[in-house]
Amino acid sequence: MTRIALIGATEALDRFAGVTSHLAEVAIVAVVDGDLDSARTVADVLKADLAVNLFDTLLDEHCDQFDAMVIHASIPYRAERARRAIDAGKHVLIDSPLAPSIAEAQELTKAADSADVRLMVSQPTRFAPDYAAVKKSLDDGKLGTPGLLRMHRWESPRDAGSLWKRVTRELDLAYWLFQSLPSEVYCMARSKDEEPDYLQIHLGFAGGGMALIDYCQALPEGQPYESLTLVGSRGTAYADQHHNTQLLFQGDYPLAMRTAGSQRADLLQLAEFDSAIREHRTPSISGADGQAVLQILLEAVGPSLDLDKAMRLQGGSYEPV
Amino acid sequence: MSQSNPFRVAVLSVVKHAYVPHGVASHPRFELVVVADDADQPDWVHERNQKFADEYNIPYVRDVEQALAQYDVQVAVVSSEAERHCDLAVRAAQAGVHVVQDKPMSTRVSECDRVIEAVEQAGVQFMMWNRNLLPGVLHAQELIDEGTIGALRAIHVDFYFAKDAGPSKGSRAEGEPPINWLEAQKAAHSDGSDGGVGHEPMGELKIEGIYPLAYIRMLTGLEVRRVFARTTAHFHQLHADNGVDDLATVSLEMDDNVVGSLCIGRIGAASHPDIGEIKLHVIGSDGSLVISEARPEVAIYYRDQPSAEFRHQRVGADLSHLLMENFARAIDTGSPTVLDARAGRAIAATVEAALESGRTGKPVEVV
Repeated sequence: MTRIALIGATEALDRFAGVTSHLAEVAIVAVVDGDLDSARTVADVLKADLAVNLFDTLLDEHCDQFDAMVIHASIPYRAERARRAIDAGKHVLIDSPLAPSIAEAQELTKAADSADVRLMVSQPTRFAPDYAAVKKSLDDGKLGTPGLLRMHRWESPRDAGSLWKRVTRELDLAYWLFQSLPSEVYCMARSKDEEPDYLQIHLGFAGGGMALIDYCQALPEGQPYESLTLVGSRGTAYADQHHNTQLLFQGDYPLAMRTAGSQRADLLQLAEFDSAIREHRTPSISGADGQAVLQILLEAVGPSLDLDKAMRLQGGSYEPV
Repeated sequence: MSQSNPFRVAVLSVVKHAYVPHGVASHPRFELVVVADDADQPDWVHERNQKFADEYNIPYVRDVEQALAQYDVQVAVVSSEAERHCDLAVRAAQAGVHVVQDKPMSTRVSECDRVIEAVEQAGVQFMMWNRNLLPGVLHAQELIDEGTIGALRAIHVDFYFAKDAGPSKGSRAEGEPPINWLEAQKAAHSDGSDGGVGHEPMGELKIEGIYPLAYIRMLTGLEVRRVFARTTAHFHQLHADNGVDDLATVSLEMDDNVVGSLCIGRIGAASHPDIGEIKLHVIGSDGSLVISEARPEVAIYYRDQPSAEFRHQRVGADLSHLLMENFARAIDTGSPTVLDARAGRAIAATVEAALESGRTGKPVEVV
């Protein structure tokens, strides 16, 4: 049984409810949150024995009661908590981006290797059944060489974090499907009021491949929308929410609602984390993968926005064109 | 011109798939009366012109100016190779004839300027053939114009034609010569995939880019000022051998801080059960739209259905009639056509800028 401590109660409840009924060899044993009441509520729902409000308490007083840690925390604190967990010999599944800087990400990865613990970066999108099906069709050779990846994601306004750091999931998908860093990156952002709420990222890959990411944080409150198309030299996969909607008629125009599949990406990701621990192998989304996405974000996306220029990968780093 | 007498139409060269002159002829206010071309054209051009003339039981004249004068022509339909589009359009305009022209407007932006000058000096109407009056696009326009999604902020068009263009990239054996563009296009005439016919190779962005860029122009009413593009030959040996794109992505920066993008490609017949995926994503200040350009459509499946037959058939679309209705109204009233010469030129300039951006890897201003 892999015993897991969850850091960050609110996220944990949304993502790990029902884990025990799906993953027989995984148990949530502890929940940590600065709000002790929240920690206790979530621990109760997830059937965890331990709820604490201090990360230090978990490590100092309960270190032998868990094997691995899932870390949801604000970006500045993530890497620090992950490092302490790794130093204590714990496996870590950490939200993306895994650190505020590439150097810190590198240190984390090295520390995990040295301590012989598994470091996995959380990108549940890779485990979403529709995107996993697209990847499988690519890996099976059905699509040939990837040529164009088109992604749209629209959601309602979020109240924390830089806009551009929210697109790590799309950058990771592009990196995952093209299996390389982009060779060129060009970004545009737009604002409705003071803060930018719209981002468009144009990626080029060696060999001619390309990707376009359209991310909008300005939808009216309600269901989000996403769509992914991967065009390859032999075929194309369309993971398009437009196709996967059902209609509800209640007068006036019908509502279009998405049917959620019964497989949940978070649980599938947790299963992979558990398998990597048991099998003593590198997880499917490693520290190095997290580092790559962070490099795209910090060395290419951000500077392209600041400089209003395309960025090109040269000698392992991105430079303005 | 009385609305009871149809406009007399000359077809100036019809060497590629003839959907434009067929479309013109389908409207009762337009009557094809002659096919014409220059005498010094090669035999294969004359053969195709003659065949089209025979289909409509009208004469074929190997002298453009003579035909325009002799047959009392009011409208010319230009459906030649792209590199001759503008020359024929200019000559028709200079003869006082209104012009309907196939896409692309030209292989050169400078030629588009000649058309604008000729058309405006002659006071004739000009329309680039387009898809702007398809039901899905009109529905998007209606919703945008009604303010349903508020002020426009971004617009994205996916325009993938699921068509082949000869052998796959990488299939040419060592020692075999590169595929000749013109010969390949001439051979593609049999299945209507010869939109790029001509001596000058053209990629998908140049041949088909006008369609999605025309959507964007109509729906936003804005000029494109700067672009960043990626272009490549990803699918077909023909495109790789001739240094042109069969796949392109373009980021667009427009007036009023509006942005957009275009993904376009000839992605291969295997990549979609129908003509291809053509979709609009539009973001406004108060909402967003996802529009499938193909709808409304009906799915039809049956035993022994040919693999080449589309499984989904568009219904309720009368594009040719609506375009020619628009053109007739423009002639009658002097109102602008749905895609006039200046709009065509702006789109051609956007395409040129995108191709340059694809070559340089830098954003390029549209001139």
